[in-house]
Amino acid sequence: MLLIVNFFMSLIMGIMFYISVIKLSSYEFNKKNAIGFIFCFAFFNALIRSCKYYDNVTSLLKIFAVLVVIIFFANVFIIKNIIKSFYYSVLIYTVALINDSILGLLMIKIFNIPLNEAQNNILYMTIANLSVLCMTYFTIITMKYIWDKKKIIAQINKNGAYILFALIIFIVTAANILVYNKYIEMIDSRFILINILITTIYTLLTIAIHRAYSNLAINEQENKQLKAYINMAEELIDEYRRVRHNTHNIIESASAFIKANDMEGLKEHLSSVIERQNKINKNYIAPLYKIAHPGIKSLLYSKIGKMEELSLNINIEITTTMSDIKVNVSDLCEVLGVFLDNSIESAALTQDKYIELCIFEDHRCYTIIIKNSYDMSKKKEGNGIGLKTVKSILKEYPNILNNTIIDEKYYTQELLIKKQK
Amino acid sequence: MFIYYRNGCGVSFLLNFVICDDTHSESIRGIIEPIIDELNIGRIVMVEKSPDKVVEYIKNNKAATVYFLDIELNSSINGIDMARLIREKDSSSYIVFITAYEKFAFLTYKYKLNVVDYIVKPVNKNDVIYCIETICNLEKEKKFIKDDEDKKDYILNIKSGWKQYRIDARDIIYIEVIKNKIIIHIETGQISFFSTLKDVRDKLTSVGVDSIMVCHKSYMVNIKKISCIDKNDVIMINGDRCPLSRRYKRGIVDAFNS
Repeated sequence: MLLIVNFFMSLIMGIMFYISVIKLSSYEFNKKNAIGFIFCFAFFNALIRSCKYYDNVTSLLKIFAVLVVIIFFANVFIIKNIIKSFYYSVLIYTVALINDSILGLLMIKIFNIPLNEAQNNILYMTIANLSVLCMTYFTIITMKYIWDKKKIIAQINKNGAYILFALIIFIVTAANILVYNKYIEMIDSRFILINILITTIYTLLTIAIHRAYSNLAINEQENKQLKAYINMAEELIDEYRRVRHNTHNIIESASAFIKANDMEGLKEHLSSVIERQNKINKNYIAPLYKIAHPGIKSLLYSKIGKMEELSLNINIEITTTMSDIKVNVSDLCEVLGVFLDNSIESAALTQDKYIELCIFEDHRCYTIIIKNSYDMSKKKEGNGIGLKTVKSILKEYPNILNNTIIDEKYYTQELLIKKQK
Repeated sequence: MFIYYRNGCGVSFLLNFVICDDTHSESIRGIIEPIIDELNIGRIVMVEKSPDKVVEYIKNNKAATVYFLDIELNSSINGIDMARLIREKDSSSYIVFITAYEKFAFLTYKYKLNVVDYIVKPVNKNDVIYCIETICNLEKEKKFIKDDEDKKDYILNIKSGWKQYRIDARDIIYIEVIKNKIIIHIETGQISFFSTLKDVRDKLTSVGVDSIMVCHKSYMVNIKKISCIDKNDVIMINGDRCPLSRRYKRGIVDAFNS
C-alpha cells in the first residue's frame, strides 16, 4: 500500500522534474522520453521513499539517493550529457527542496495540520506535491527570465555581482549556523558534524567555482579577440615572406644585368621595380603590434579594415603600449569605437578622405587623437546617439578628458587619460 | 574658433634660423638660405655640426627661432633631446626635424613637442619650401593673436593635457562640471580640463565676461546663446539642454528677457 501511494506521489514529482528540465535546458518535448523518465524515476523514488528508516542521517542519505536517481535518468532519457544533467538536476532538486520546506512550514505552522497527518494522509500529500510542482515550475520560469536578463546586468556591474554573491554565501552559512546553534542540544551530534562539514565544503566550493567561472568568461572574450589578431599577424608574415622573396629576385636579376654590363637593361629593371614598389599598399596594421590589450588591438584592427575598405588616406602612429591604463577596457573600446566610426563616416564624405590616429604617452597622460577631414556642409545626422553614450561613459571617469575641436577642414577628437600616481 | 586666422595681410617679421646636422649642414644651408632671402623673413644665425653650441644658443635665446634639427646626431644628445630642451625654454619657436628614416614617429612629436614638420634626407628643395611656407603662415597667425592679446579682452587661456587653448569667452555656449572636470562647450567643439567652477567663474570675471551665469550647481550658461527656457531646462542654440535649478531660475529668466 505504502509503495503504491509513494509511487503515485513520485509520479507527480517526476512530472515536475521533467517539465522543469525541459524548460531550463530548452530541450524539445518527446513523449517517449517523458514517459520513460517519469516512470523510471517514480519507481525508484518510491522504492527509496518506502525505506522505513527515519533517523536524521538516513533522511539525508535518502535525499542524496533521490538526487542520484534523477541525475541518472535525466542523463539516460532527456539530456544525454552527464555534466548538464547533473547541473540541471541539482538545480531543480534544490529549488524543489526549498519549496517543499516552505510548503511544510505553511501547512504545519499556519494551517495547523499535524506533521503526522501531513505525511500520511493521501489527500494532503497529493495537494502538497502538486503545490510543490506548481511552485517549482514558477520558480524555474522566473529564474530563467532573470538569467536571460542577468547577462546584461553582469556586464554592467561586475563588482556589484561579486558583492551580491559573497553576501549570499554569507547569509546561507550564517543562517545555517544560527539555526544549529539554537537546536544544538536537541540534535544528534553526528548530524551537526555532517552539517558543519557540508556548510564548509559548500562555501569553499562555491567560491572556487565562481572564481574559476569568472576567469573563464574573461579568458573566453580575450581568446576571441586574440584569434582575430593572430589571423592578421599571419597575413602580415605571409606578406613579409612575399616581400623577402621579391627582394631576393630583384637583387638576383639586377646582378645579372651588372654582370652582363647592360646598363640600359638595369635602368629599366630598376624603374619597373620602383613602380611596383609604389603600388604596394602601405601596411597600416603593423603599428598595432605595440598595443598590449587584445581588446583594443582587435577593435582598432577592425576599424582600420573599414578605413581601407573606404580607401581613406590613413595616417596611424602608435608609440605606446597602453599597458597600465586605469580604465575599463570595454568602456574605452566603446568610446574609441564611436569616435572612429564617426570619423570614418565623415572622412569618407570629404575629398581629402584623411584620417589620422595617433596614440602616445608622456609622463602625465596617455593621449589618443583621432583627426579626420571634415566637411561642414555634408554633416551627417545620427552621430548624436554614439556621442551621448560616450558622454555617459566618460562621466564615470574623473581621469579622462575629452576635447573636440572642429575647424574649417578638420574634426579632431582628443582623449586624454591621466596616469595614476 | 580657437585660432584667429586672417588671410592676405602683409605682416613683417624676422625669424632666426638654426641648422644642426652632423653630415649635411652646409648643403642644407645652401637650400634654405635662398628661400628665406627671397621671402625676406629672417636670417640664418647658426649652422652647426655638433649640438653643443646649439644647446648653448637654446639656453640663452629669446628671439623667435626656427630650428632645423637632425634627429640622428653622432653625439651624446640627439635632435629629439634638443627639441625637448627648446620646449622647456619657449613654446613659440618652430622645430623642424631632419631625418634619414621616413618611418619615425612624426605624429607623436608633432603633438608632444609641437614639431612643425620633418624633412627626409637627402633634402629636397620643394620639401623645404613647403615647410618654410607653413612656418610663415603659422607666424602670421601668431602675430594676429598677439595683436588680439593687446586687447586681452574675452580671451581665456586654458591648458588641457599637453596643449594650450585660447578660447574667446563670447563663443562659449555653456560650461559643465563633472566632479573635478570642467567641460567648456563651444560651437566648434569642447575643451575639458581639471578645475573647479569657482575658478572658472573667477577667470571669466577677470576677462570681463558677465553674460555667462550659473544656472545649476554644475552648469553655467551663456545668456546670449540660449535658444529658449523650459520649465526645468535651458535649451542652448546647439540643442543641448542644461538643467535649471529653482534657485537660479529667476535670475536666468530675467537676464534672458532683458
